[in-house]
Amino acid sequence: MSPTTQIPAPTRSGPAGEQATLKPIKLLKQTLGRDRLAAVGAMIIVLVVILAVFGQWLAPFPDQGMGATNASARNLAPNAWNWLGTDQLGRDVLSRIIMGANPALTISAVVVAAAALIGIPLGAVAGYCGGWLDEALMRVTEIFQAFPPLLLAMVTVAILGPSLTNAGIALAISWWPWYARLVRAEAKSLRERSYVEAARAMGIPQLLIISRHVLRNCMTPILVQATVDIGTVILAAGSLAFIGLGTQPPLPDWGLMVAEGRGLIFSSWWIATFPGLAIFLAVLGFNLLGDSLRDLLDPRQVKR
Amino acid sequence: MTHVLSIRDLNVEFTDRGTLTNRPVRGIDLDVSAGEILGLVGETGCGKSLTGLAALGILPRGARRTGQVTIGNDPSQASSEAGGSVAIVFQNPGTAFNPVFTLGRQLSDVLSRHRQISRSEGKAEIIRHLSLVGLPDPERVYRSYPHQLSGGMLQRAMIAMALLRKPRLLILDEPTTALDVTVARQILVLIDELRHKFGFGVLLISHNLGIIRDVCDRVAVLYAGRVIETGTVDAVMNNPRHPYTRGLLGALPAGRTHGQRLTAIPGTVPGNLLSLTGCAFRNRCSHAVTDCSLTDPLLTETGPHQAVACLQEGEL
Amino acid sequence: MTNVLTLENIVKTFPHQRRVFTAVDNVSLSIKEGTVYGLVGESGSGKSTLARCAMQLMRPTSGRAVFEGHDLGKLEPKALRTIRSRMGMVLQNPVASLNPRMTIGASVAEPLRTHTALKGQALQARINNLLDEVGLGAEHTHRLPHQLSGGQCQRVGIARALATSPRLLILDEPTSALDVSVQAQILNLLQDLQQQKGLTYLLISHDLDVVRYLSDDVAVMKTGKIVESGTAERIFTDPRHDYTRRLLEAAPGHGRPEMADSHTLPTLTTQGND
Ligand SMILES: Nc1ncnc2c1ncn2[C@@H]1O[C@H](COP(=O)(O)OP(=O)(O)O)[C@@H](O)[C@H]1O
Ligand SMILES: Nc1ncnc2c1ncn2[C@@H]1O[C@H](COP(=O)(O)OP(=O)(O)O)[C@@H](O)[C@H]1O
Ligand code: SF4
Ligand SMILES: [Mg+2]
Ligand SMILES: [Mg+2]
Repeated sequence: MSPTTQIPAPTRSGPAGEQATLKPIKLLKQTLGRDRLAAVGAMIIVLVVILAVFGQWLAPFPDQGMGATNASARNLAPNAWNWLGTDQLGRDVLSRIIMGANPALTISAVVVAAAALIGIPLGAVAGYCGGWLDEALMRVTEIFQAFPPLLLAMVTVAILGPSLTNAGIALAISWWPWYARLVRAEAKSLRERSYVEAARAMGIPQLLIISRHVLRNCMTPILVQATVDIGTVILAAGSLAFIGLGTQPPLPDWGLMVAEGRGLIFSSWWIATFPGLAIFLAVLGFNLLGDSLRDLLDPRQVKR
Repeated sequence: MTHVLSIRDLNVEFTDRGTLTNRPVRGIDLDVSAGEILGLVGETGCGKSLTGLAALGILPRGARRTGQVTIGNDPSQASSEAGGSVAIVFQNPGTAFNPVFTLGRQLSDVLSRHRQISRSEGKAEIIRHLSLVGLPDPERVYRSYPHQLSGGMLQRAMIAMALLRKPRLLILDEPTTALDVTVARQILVLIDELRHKFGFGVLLISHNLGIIRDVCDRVAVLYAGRVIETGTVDAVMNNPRHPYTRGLLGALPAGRTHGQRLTAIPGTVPGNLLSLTGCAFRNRCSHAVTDCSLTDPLLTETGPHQAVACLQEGEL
Repeated sequence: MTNVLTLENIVKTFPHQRRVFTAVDNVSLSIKEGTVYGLVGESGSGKSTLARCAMQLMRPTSGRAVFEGHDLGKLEPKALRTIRSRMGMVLQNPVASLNPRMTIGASVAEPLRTHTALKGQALQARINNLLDEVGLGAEHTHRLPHQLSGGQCQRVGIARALATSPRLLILDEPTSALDVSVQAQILNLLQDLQQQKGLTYLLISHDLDVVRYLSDDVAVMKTGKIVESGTAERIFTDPRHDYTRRLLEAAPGHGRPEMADSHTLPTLTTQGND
C-alpha cells in the first residue's frame, strides 16, 4: 500500500459525515435495497410481528395455543390436520408456536425499551459531564457486567418468583449497563464536536445540549444495538422459560415448549424441534438486520 | 523542450450502471516540460484533482477517462502503467502514511517495487533521499512512526518517497494547504530547488493564486472542468484576461487593508455539467452577454504567452 | 473608548505525559469597543485555547477574563450563560460546527429560543432576517448542513452567532477551511457587519493577509506567548520581532522564494503533528 497511489478521500462530507445525516427510515431502506441477508432478516421480523399481532386469528387451534388440552390427540406426528404435530397434552404445536410469538416479542421489546430508558440517559449524562459522575456510573455498570446476564436474571427471578413479568424485570436489570456504556462512549466523542462547542458558547443549557446535540446524534448506533438485542432477549427469555424461571405452563412460550418436549426428543422430535427452530429464526432475523445496519453505519466494516 | 506530460482532450466521466451522471473534466489540453512547474488553479470542485488523477490513471470508482495522456515519449492509454515516471503527493501528509509502520519501512516498500536493490543499499538510498528533502537527522526519521513527526516533516518525507521513483513528472495536489505558512513556504522552496536539480516537470495543483504566482512558470486556470485561461505566470498574473481569473486575483486579501473591499466572485461552482450550454461561468460573470449562454467559448491565443476562453475577451 | 474584553495574565496548562504543557503562557490583551483585534500565529500556538478561556468554555489555569466589567470566572453558571448571549463565537470548520441533524432554521433558532421570548411568526421572521443579513435566502431554512456549501455553512454560523445581538464576536479561523474566492465573500460580509453594527471582533487566524485585511490591532502569538503586538499598520509595515518578520516573508503571494532561505532547515520536533 503505497501512499503515492492512494486515491484521496473526498474532502467534503466523507462517508462518515454522510451517514450521520441519514434518517433511520432512510437507512433501513438503503440497507434492504443493497443487502440480501438484511432483506431476509427483515422478512423474518415482519413474519414474527404479524404472528405476534394476529396470532389468535391465524392459529388453527387458538384455544390449544393458550393451553387447552386434547387428550385424544397426544404426540401426533406432523399431519394434514396438525401441520407440526401435537405435544404430549394433545395441543397443536403450530398453534402454540404462533401464539408464542406475542409473548416472546412483547417481553423482548419491553426489556429492550426499559434497558434503553434507564441506560441512555445515564450514559449520556456520564459521557457528556465526565468527572466523578462518569467514574461512579462506570464502576456500577462494570459490576453488573461482571455477571453473565442469564445468571443475574436467574438470581433476580429466584428472589422475585418465576413469571414472564419477573423474567422481564430481571433481563432489563442485566441489560441496561450495555446501553449506558454504548451511549457514554458516543457522548464522550460527540462532546468534542464543533457544534457542541458552538452550543456551549451560545449559552444553551446543558440538558438541552445533551438531548438536542448529543442524544439525537447517537440514535443510529442505539437503533442498531436495539435491533440485535431484541433477538438476543428472545433467546434469553426462552432460556429462562426453559429452566422454569420464565413463562409458566400452560401459557405458550417457545423456550417452555422446548423444555416440555425435551424428554420426548427421540420419540416425538417435533415437539421440541419446531419451537427451537422458531427461536433460532427470530434471533437470526434480528441479528441479520442489525448486523447489516451496523455494517452500513461503520465505514471501516463495509464489505466490498 | 521535451514534454514530460502532454494531455490532449482529456475528459473524465462518471457513470452509474451505464448511464452518464457527470462530466467534471471536459476536454483539457495541458503540457508540462521537463524542469518546469505548471500551476493548475481553480476553486474547489473545478476538477483539478480529477485531472491530476487522470494523468496518473488512478481515477476513483465509477470514473472513466477519454482522450490522450502522454508521459515522456510513450503514449499510455491505460492505467497506472506510467509507474516509475510519475509520482503524486497529496494534500494531507498526516493521513498519507500508514500509522502502524515506520517511515523507513514504508519507503522501502516503494523502493523495492521500483528497483532491484539490496536491503542495506536500499536503506542508504532512502536516507540519502530523506536528507535530500532537507530532513535533519534522516536516520531518526527513518526509524520514526508518522505520528512522531510534524506535518511539514511528513510532507517532506512524502516528497522523498515520490523522488525514490525517479519521476519525470511530479504531481502535487494542494501540497501545502494543510501546512502552516512558514512550513508551506519551505516546502515550495524545496520543490523549486529539486526540479532544478533533477529536471523533472511539476504539475502543482492549488486553489490559491498567491502560491501559484510564487513558484510556477506557467499556469492553467480551470473552471468547471475546462482550462479558461493559460499562459506564463507573468502574463496571466499581470494581465488577466478572463473574468474568472480576475475574480480569483481580486479575492486575495494580500496587501489590502480594511476599507478596501475584496472582489468576491458571487455564487458557486456548478456541481453537474452535463446539461450545460454556452459558457459555464456566465451565471457568475458580470460581463456576460446573451451570446454567452449560446456559444461555448474556445481557448484562443491573445498574446505570445497567453490564451483565454471568453467571448468578451476583446471588450474587457 | 471602553474595553469590551480584557484578558489578564491568562495561563492554561494541560497535563501531558506526566508533565504539564503550557498551551497559553501569561497572555494579556484588551479589545476596544468597535475594533477588530487580530490574533495571528501558527497552528498549535494556543490561539484557540486562548479563545476558549476568553469564553470560559475552558477555565484558565490562572488569570482573568473580564467582559463588560464582569470577571467571567467569578460568575455563576446561569449568569455566565446569560452573558454568553452578548458574546458570539464562529468556529473554523463551518460544516462541523452545525448539528448535522438540525435544519439551518433550527440551528439559528436555538440561541433565540434560549435567550429571547420570540415564538412562532416572530421567531421565524427574526430567523429570516438573520439569514438575509448574512446573504442567505429564506429558502435555506429547511435545509440540512450537508446540503449547503462550506461558505454557506459559515454564513449560517455567523447568523447564529449574531442571533442574540452580541457586542463581541470571537472568530476562530473563520475562513481557514474555505476557498480563497469564498473566503473573500465571508471577509466582505464580516467587514460589512462590523461596520454596520459597530461590532467588536477578536479575529483568530494563521493567515496574515486575512488578519491584516480586517484588523485594527494585531498580536502575534508563538508557543503560547504573545511575541509582538501593536496596531495592524505598524506590525505589517514595521515588524520588530524576528518571528513576525519570518511569518510575513512566508505568506503566499509575496514574491518568488529566495534560494537563499531554502537552507533554513526545519528544527526536528518530537511532538505530534501540528
Ligand atoms: N464520485 C464522484 N461522482 C460524481 N461526481 C464526482 C465524483 N467525484 C468528484 N466528482 C465531481 O468532480 C468535480 C471535481 O472534483 P475534483 O477534481 O475533486 O475538484 P477539485 O480538486 O478542483 O476540488 C466535483 O465538483 C464533483 O462534482
Ligand atoms: N483539551 C486539550 N488537552 C490537551 N492539550 C490541548 C487541548 N487543547 C489544546 N491543546 C494543546 O494546546 C496547544 C495549543 O492548541 P490550540 O489552542 O488549538 O492552538 P491553535 O488554535 O493556535 O492552533 C496544542 O499543542 C494542543 O495540542
Ligand atoms: S464568455 Fe461571457 S460569460 Fe463567459 S466569461 Fe466571457 S463574458 Fe463571461
Ligand atoms: Mg482537489
Ligand atoms: Mg485553532
